[in-house]
Amino acid sequence: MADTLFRSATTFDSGLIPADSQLTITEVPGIGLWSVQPDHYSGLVMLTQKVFGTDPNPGGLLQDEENCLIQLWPNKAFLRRENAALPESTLTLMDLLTDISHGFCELKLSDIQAFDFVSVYCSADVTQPTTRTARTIRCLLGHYPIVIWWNNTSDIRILVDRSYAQSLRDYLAHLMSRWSWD
Amino acid sequence: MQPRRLKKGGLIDRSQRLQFTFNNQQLQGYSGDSLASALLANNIHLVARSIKYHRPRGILSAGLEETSALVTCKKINGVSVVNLKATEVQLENGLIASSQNCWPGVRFDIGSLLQLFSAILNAGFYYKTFMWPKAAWHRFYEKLIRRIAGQGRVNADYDTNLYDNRNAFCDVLVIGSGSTGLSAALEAAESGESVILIEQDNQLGGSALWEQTRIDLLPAAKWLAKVAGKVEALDNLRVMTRTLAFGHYDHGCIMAVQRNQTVTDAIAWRFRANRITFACGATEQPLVFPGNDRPGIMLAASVRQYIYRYGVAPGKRAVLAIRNPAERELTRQALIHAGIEIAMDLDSGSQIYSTRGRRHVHRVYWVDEQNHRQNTNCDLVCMSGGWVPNQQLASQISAPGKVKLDVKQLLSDTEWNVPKIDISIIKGLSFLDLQNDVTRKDLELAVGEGYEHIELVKRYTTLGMGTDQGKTAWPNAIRELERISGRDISDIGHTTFRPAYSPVSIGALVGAQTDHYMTPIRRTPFHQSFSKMGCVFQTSGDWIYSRYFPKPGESMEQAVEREVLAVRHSIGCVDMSTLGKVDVKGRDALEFLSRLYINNLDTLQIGRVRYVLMLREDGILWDDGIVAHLGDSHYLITMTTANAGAVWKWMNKLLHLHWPELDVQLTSVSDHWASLAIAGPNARHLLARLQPDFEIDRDNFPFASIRQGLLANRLPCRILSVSFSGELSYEINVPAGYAVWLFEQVMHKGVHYDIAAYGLEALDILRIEKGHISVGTEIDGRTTPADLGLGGMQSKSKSFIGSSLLQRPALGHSNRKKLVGLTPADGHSPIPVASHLCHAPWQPGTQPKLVGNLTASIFSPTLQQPIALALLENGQSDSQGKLWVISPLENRSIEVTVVPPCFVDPKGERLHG
Repeated sequence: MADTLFRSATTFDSGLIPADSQLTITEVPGIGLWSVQPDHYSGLVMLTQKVFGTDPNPGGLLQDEENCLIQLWPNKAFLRRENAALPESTLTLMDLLTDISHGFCELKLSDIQAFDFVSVYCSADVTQPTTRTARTIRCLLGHYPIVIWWNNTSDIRILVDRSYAQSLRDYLAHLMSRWSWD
Repeated sequence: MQPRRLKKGGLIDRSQRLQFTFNNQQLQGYSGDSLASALLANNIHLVARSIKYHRPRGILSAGLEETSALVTCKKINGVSVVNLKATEVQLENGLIASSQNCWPGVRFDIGSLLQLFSAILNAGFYYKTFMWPKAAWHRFYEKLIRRIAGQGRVNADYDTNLYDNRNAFCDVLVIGSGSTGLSAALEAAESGESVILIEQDNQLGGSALWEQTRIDLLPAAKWLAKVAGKVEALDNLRVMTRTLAFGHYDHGCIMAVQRNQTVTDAIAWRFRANRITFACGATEQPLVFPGNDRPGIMLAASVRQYIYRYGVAPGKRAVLAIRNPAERELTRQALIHAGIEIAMDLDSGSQIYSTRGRRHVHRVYWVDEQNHRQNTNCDLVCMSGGWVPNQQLASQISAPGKVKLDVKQLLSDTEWNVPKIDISIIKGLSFLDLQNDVTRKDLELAVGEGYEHIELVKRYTTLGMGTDQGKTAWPNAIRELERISGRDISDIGHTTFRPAYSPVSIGALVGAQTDHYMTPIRRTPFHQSFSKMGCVFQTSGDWIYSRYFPKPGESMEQAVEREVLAVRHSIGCVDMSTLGKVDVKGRDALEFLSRLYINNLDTLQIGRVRYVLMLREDGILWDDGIVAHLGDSHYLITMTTANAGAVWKWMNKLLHLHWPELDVQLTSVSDHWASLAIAGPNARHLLARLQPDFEIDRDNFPFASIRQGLLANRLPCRILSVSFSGELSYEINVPAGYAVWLFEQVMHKGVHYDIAAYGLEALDILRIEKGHISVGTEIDGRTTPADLGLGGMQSKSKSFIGSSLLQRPALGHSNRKKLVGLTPADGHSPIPVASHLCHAPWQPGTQPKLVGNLTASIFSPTLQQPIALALLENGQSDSQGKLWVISPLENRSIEVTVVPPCFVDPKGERLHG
């Protein structure tokens, strides 16, 4: 038993992905995620100005090297970081933020066909121009509620509730066994 | 080798010869053949037997309107599939096909003896027969009917095919790739829209593939080649062949199945389009005359398709019975092209009155315009009663998008087949629906018996209820009803068209969601750790939840008893992570929660926790949980596992729709926090060993409070001093990623106290012993807080959700069922679960007056006797004498004694440690 504090991965590879599949699924470890819920829209503006130096982008992403703001709800947004520490610029805005880092798992789908793969299994049209511009959408994949975002179409990130994460990972691998772009 | 194959021509690939088997006979065909075309090329016309009369049946058509040629097919390394239309099966090397509904074989079938009883096997015969003697139904009739009913026999082996469900979106979806569909798709794509063109066939073109007509001044084949080139050049036009649209739903949704892909056997696609173009073509209708079902009697356009597309001559000597002059001429040309002799070309005034041929038509009899009876020998009859547009898909959805069909216009091209001749000379049954063996006489019988509405006629006769959905039946049926009833066909109307337009395999509909992929599974952060301990899990909604932790050699009962006693005497730990958890912040957080719960929360100080109850709007108890006051305008609430999702939605609905003026932010943290409860007399000792950075003695950390801090100077935590088991208990909440570490620490440091992990079984026993309520048992959708002895929690100084309707007299009546405890009067008899309460023992055959029901019944390891919780009229005040628990299912009665519902530590001393 380790006395040193350690953070466990949420999911593991069940070995279900076909050996000849080009698509891969990995878990992105240790991300920080906060729910941003201002009482007024001006609070969100204040946060985006402090962190990104710009106004909010409703329905889309705001991004810099470390931070990513996903704004897919009328009254809240997700602030995502590569690590679990909040940016210093937000320390005065703690009232707006609730830590949900451990409540979600981010899965990374990699391959040149990653976007095509996701596009046929999501209930929403991720290929439509407004979504492609926004680079993010909230929808269902099968029966799983997810948030997808991406920087490029070969690297798709899927945010899913932690408790569903292993089940979703296994399901994605299961889909890969019958995936082909016919 | 293929006696009816033309020497040249057709769109088949003659360089690829395919071997297949039909009824154990080795045969050959070519790539591009359908099973039907390959059978005809091999001069095989007798393919199946009809469902009711077991009449010999052949191939009527060349498409999915096929009624008769139903076969069972098996691919190499595949499973057999029944009830496939031979016209829809793409020929593959190694295909094994066989006839259905015949024994011992299709050429000689014992079932054909049923034709001798055709006079009594008419429409609705099953409502009038098999009634006497009564006992014979179960002993004989049912077994016989089950044996002979239906078509093919389903293979019960596991289906190893792969299926999938996928989504696609576009601006324009075009269904059908005939000249209309291709033109529409091209025009839409060339104007910049994203277009998907789906075609059920394996090639684009529809009838342009075989009809010798001209389109845009070009021969059809040349036009098709030109257009196909344009189609391939467009990036925004996606073509999907072998894709059959089977369902049309609201909001531009089309469901289709795509077959025979690289990896999957079938994919069910859900298309969503801004606009849909239905270019589904039309279906040729048969003529209705006696003996119109014999093998060799085919639809004229289908004959042309076999000749031109497949290079097959379906006969040697043909009779034409085609009303439309243009159709007749096209068919004549086709027959000449194929070298088929034309025995007779019947004019529109002629009427066929009989046919002959047991397994293949060989003679046709007719009356000509001069009323002379004539006949000729033949082996092929090309018939056509006109064309009916395929409008079914378009009109499947509900209004306002529904396409209203003008029946008169729809049937304008069909010929009314009224027998003009002396009826006494008619020999044989005239079939309206070949697949379900429905005849002209069946319709007359149905109308005569009062079934005049077309929907009733359909159900009484089964016309149109087969796998062909009556595509070649219902137009003629409407004409017949017009003749029989004298009503206009506009009044008769048509039956309701519903999905599926053509049969779809269940596998395709299910897709990848089989076995444990059927529904999502939720796991707690402790799942892996518990698995390593050999935990037995159970499903609880979407969750996989720990049930019990058996040691080697233990039965479930032994394990559960050990776990319960460990908690009562020392310490146990249980996963509470599935409870819903919501972080509530904002200036109006207290006001919001006060409206939500019945309790007074004004006095809840920071660091304290209160057990709370939530009602439905009608005053009935819905959920319970806790409210913890974390800080200024900051609360944490919990909900039961069962109601977590519903309560979360409810809270958001209230906040955003009903109370938007409140300054409140809700964040679901259900998955963020892993929650492990340690419970038992040694709970505080164990907590101390985990090194929290705050005081945990009884005074500084009393019952019903919460502390936030660090464990072992490292791990952020929230610890609640609450108890479901009735023992001293702490719910340790840590960020879920540290759950494994926490569990290891707890189990390692708990060894000193012989800690036992416990699951849902033990948890339930502990709460029943303590008389604590639970959703689904005591909170059963009918009880109020007062019914469960919790009326004192209700605040008198504020209103809350449900407070108004809670005042209804019926909810406050003194006679209401109230929560009580029960013990067996003899001290040891088990109390049957899910039983009722009565003031007399159970007497079979009686209907006693029930005065209550059990909500829980167990053997208590702590008390070493059976106990139960129940809801009893008047509760503890019941004074009507002896009380029995009765179970009609087990035919048992147990006399019981009413006691307070809290069996263990009624004073609550153990809670405080």
